[in-house]
Amino acid sequence: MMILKTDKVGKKYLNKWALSNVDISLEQGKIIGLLGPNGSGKTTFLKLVIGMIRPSSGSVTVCGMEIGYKAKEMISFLPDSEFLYNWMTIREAGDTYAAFFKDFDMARFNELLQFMALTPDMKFKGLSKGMKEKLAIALTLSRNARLIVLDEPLNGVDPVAREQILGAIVKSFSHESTILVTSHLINEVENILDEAYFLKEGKIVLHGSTDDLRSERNKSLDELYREVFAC
Amino acid sequence: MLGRLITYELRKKWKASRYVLLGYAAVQMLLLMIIRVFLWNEGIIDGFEINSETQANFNASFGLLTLLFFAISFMLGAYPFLESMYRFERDLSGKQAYLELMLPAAAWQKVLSKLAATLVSLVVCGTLSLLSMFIFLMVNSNFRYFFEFFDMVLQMVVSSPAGFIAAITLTLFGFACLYILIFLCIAVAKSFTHKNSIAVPIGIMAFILMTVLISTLESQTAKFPIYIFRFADLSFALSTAVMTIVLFALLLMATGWLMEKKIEH
Repeated sequence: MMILKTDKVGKKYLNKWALSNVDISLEQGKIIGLLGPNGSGKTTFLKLVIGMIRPSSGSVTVCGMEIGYKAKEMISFLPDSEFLYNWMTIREAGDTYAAFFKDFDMARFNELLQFMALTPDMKFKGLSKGMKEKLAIALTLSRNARLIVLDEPLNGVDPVAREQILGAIVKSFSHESTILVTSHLINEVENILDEAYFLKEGKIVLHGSTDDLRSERNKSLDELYREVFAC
Repeated sequence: MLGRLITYELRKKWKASRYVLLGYAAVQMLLLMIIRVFLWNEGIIDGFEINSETQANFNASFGLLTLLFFAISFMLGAYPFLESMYRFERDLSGKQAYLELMLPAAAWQKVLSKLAATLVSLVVCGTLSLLSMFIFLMVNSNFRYFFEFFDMVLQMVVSSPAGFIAAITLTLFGFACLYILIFLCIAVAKSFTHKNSIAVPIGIMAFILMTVLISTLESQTAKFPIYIFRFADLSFALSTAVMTIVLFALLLMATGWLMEKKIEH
């Protein structure tokens, strides 16, 4: 089943196209990487997918639906910046998600908290950057959403936390859903990806299943990334 | 969903305002204690006597602290107004905008829940503000008019309960209309840009333009009342009443539409 489909989608800011003619089709049950350096348009693309910005051209559909508040029920999104209130405790953050998202699984949330060594009474304000990222990941992955969108989940966290985050992604992945993840830490995410899209200056320059890409070119994804994005 | 959104907004308001309220209570209590213990004298009671024949014995410090006390009370009354504008702006373009805008609810419901929470905050802060001024007057007049005051309020309510309820409802609806207009102007500004140096002037211009437009519409509609009816000793023109309700609904839907379709983050 097709979870996400974009048809020649583009986004223009004043006179500059941040994204142009991006065609992406994501099927159910896969973890897909959107790879590219800073400024390549990854976050712009994700914002289009979740409806935070609107396309200047083309269209985006999730499970066949245009992006609107109904489609938001099917998308679980992890932004690349803090989005919770400082007054929240971890428990309150979970309760807020449980109140608004019908697909939020509290048991899985508690399990993920335990896995990432977080306790529900901790205050968001007192958490370190890595802990905040882990909490955000736990909240995002605790939803049984059809499309899970993770924007730079490994950004600014130490190697141990990265391992825990990647472990959490794999642990909570369901074949009913699709995970779209952006990262420029290719080495770290390479092993969990089924497919990869390489985004350069707002355009898809390479796409394929990670196994095919590796075997066809006899290179790791990291090496391919360096080749594609070398000046 | 609307109920859950209102609960969420109320919780946000409480978390954001609790220290302001606690601080307010502490400062006002301190001021009241200083005034009563150190600056108060018997002569001051005469200042509260409407037909007093003796000269009230106010001193400068008493006057200054009283002024400060009342200024702080008025500031608390104005707090929900400023806080709701700031909060709405932050919800559209602050760090938490991702959480706010990703909630799977119709945008008009989100706006309505913010409006409801703002009105609750207005009632709470307004009541606290009036209550503290009342306490000040009672304490410094040695509770001379305590029972007379309650008797007066009670009589006002009992003599026309419908009028009392209507007055409160109309006041709240008036504030709701004002707030929704402000929310719309913020949304208009944010649909152009998130840069406050540009968004604020746009918002102010939108507010002035819409106020002029609405006032013109109201005055023109008042010329054709269609039917005049009385409710709780008040006269209403049917055309004005219908237009006010329709305008409120339009402002609400327009704010929601801008949030859903135009504002980008």
